[in-house]
Amino acid sequence: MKNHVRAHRDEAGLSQADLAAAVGVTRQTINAIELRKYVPSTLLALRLSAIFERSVNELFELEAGDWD
Amino acid sequence: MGRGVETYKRSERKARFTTVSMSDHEPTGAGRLAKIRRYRRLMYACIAVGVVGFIAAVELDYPLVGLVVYWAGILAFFAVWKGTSVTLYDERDIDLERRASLLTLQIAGVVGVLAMTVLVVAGQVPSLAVPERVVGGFLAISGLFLVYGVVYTVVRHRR
Repeated sequence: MKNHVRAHRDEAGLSQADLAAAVGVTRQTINAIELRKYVPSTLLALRLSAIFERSVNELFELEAGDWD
Repeated sequence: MGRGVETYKRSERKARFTTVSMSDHEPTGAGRLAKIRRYRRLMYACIAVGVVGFIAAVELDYPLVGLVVYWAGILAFFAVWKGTSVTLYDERDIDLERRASLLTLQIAGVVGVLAMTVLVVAGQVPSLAVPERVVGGFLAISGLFLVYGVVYTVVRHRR
């Protein structure tokens, strides 16, 4: 699954630690999401969408391989 | 920039520049992370002290003292974990634990199947003596899967 968390975080001028604190996870989790090593839960995805005021679809994108 | 970010930044600035006691507000992002790291180190230190203390006491021929130190370490670990309001583990940690547990069970399963094969073959060949440790290990793995089955059933019925 593709995501645009890094781009939105940069646009918002937040560090990984700031974003992590805002959504209640560790910095490592934000890093893992940005590197596409970890797919967040629905709850965390919704929290991220609330912080950036974007829809979840604008932050996360399904790829062809995600249907396999 | 979204209002969500602005709201978050406003509350961060307020927390940083308003002179209030620590108990009056949540720590800032960096402060919260430092706190998480501190608590985690403390938890691991409790376990380390308990285990090292136990081994040292046993070596010095004070096994009961070692047991007390060991239990103190375990209880301190849980006291720190459950006693703090700080979220020490997030959903990624839980996911990592879930994957590690699954992998452990898969490894145990392979070892169990191999051990059972060895036991059956050894039972058919009188000249082959199976060490008691192998039998004990097989029983331990069987017990682990039995516990897993029970826990899985309970969890499944609860959800």
